[in-house]
Amino acid sequence: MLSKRKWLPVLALLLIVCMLFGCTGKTPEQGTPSGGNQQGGSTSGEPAPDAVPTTFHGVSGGGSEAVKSAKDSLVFRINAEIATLDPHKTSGTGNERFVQYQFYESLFRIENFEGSPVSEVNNALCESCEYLDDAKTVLQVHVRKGVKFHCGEDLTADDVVFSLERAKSSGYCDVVTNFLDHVEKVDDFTVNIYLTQAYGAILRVLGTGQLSIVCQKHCEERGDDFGRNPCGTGPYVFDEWVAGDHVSFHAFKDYWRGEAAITYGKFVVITDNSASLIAMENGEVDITQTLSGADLPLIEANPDLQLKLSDTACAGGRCILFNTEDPSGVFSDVRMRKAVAYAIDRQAIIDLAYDGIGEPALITMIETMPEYPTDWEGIPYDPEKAKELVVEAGYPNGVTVKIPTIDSSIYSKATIALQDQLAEVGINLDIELIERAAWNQKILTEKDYGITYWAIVLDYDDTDAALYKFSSKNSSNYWNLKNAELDELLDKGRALETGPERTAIYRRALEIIDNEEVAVVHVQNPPRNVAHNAKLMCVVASPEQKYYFYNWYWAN
Amino acid sequence: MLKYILKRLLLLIPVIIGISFIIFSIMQLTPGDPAREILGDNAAQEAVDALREEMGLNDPFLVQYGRYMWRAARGNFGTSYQTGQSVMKQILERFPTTIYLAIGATLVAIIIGVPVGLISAVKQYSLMDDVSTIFSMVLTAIPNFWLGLVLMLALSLKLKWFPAYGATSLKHFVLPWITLSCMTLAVLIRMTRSSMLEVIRQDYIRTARAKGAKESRIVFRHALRNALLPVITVIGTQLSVQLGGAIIVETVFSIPGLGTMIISGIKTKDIPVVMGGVMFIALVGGLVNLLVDILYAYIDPRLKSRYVGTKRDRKRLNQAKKEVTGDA
Repeated sequence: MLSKRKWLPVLALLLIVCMLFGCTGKTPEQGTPSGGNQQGGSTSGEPAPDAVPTTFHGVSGGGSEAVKSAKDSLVFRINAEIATLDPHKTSGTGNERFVQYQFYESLFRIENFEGSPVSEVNNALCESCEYLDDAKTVLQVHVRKGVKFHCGEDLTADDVVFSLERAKSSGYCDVVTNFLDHVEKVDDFTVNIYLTQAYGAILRVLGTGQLSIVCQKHCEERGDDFGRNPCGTGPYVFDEWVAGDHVSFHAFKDYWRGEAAITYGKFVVITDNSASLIAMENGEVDITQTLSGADLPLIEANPDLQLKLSDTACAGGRCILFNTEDPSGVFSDVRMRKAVAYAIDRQAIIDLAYDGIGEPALITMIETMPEYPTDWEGIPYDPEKAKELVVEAGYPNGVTVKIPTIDSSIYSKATIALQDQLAEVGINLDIELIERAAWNQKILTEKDYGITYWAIVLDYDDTDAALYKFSSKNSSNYWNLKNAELDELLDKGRALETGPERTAIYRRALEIIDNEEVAVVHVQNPPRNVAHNAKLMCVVASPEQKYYFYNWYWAN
Repeated sequence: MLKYILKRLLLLIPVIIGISFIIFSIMQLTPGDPAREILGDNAAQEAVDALREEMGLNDPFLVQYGRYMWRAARGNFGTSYQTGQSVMKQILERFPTTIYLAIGATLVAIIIGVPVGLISAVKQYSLMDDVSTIFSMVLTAIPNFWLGLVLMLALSLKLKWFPAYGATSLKHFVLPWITLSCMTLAVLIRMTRSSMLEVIRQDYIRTARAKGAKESRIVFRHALRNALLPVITVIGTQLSVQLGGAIIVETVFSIPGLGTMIISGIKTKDIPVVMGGVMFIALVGGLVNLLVDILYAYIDPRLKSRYVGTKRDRKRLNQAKKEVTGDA
């Protein structure tokens, strides 16, 4: 049998294995250099370098004032792992962007401030710009001087040309580079951006994370590894990335607006909302985004924490989508689509599926967009009218249709509420719960559906970004909508800058999309929520999820 | 012995190939387009199609599988669709955390489970026995994710003893270890108890008692050694199970291990990550089982004699066989 001599090596082996594999990480306090200067902001005695030229609609402001932060670190919770820190290889507005906004800057910066519902477009790495032609297809950008990259290189026109061309050649940035024809260097601090056509929202597009400016030298040296070794001009410098655990950073001492008030911190990955809430209450996490509705009362009840809801809805409204070329033929009939629009009680769905949070939505636009029609009434709740339309469409005994739904409570709960409401008017929904990836393929790629439920997230907050999806020229037209008048209006609208003409054009486009064709029925406009330590100041819940730590500081 | 080990290692090859084929088939047959997942909801269909072609996703199933396996055979598990990083690198980054979690939880289970099972058997039908039986039944019934959250609330939020998430220090692992060890603990208590009860009733124990040996000597020296043999097998199996089963605990405590990597890969149809992760876990599981079998043979002299022996031993054995044959 086993003697003492034989047990000892076994135990020793187990212990050695444990110790070897256990010594993997550092404590949170290690490896995060802290800056000595706790002064934040850029305004101490210098003219505001980010003043905006009067030729554009941006409003100056933002940046942290010269404040003394009572604490110099920050822990920001993200709810999923990040894939890369390369801004040109990141799609949409995922968790990667939270991190990238701290390391990189674009030519323009889109910011939200308290009390101002509309996000502002401010100059960032662009010092000034102007169109060189009447057709507004050549934008000359004067690059800010005296800006350094984290690697020590100076920002020049070469970096801007390199970055924009790199983004253009990347499939990830397709949505925001459609308008870029090419970019040319004029001199060391001037570039000309040639557009394929005039585009009214070009500054907003140039302010997206996809068009971040990266250091050409560093990027070329790092090659494919750039996504793990980012280098931008942003207020924070990348320190360490432990996959699936955290990304740490420290303040950039040579940042052109001055060193940030919060001098180091990290993003931590906590996928579970309940665990995240406990970590918040425990003081292990300072700020978290996007909590579930059920958790919000717990935050509000805790005096050490603060809950912020964005003043306006985020560009991710929940809605019912129709395939106007429904293979089953049911929803290719506009009367059936209208019937659904009349049949739904939006507030009831919001109460059931979203804990009563968010406003009922009637329109393919959010109120932060300048062309938003404040007097819009839309299709009202009228189940009797809905019943008539179903009968008129040829279904006197009702009809049963499949509704592919993403297997997530955000969508499934609302679909169950919809099921009840539509059954009242004779439309019986057969809910088909599927994984997101499967849903994406079925709906977005194959367009094999009649009706479904989704949240449309926009890459940038502009009317064109919201409406051009409905153009038959756009391959992202998931509705298969084909309307010549609408196509013409959308082409005209995107070339114009904000003004009465653009507003009138988009109003008519909205009438076609929401009232006449009824390609989509909006249900809820959710606000973004953010919960943070009550002593963390200047945090604004951004509908576009643009959080700049540079603007924040800790109160005593 | 070496021959046995080599044989077992060779047997792992068809096992891994079988697993890889099943996982690859599942990932291919389930709907979802990796190119769409990479480029996002708003990407133009043309860009998605171009990426599919570039990634070779339009090739026939067997061509894709063959290509993958050819690379895997040379130690290249491919590149993650999402991160662009080498899958092997990602696995090696995360594997230490998972193995640390699994071994720690197994140790917790051994340290508590074996003594409790032992006492339970020695004091059969006592209050202690009843309590341990109920305890192990409760542990079997508790779901991991629930226990994890309850421990977090009690020991992290209320008492502030341990952090609620992460894996950066020993302290971070205490709650996950307790959570993950529950099922193994229950199994070990039951297994040690029943194994001890079986051994304790055997003749040689009765003989030892009759000879006037001390009870502690009988229990620890004579009974426990034999009773531990099946327990060791169970420990090995449980360790393999925990390597793959740590997924839930990793998710609840936000521990960056192989489990969370695979889950994330499944959600985004990151086929190389899922394939690499599962194959690696299968390989490690196979090796752990082999190690347990070797250990088992090493501990049990009866098994050891089948594999291990000096030339002199074998000569004597053969001679004895000849004598027996000759006598016959």
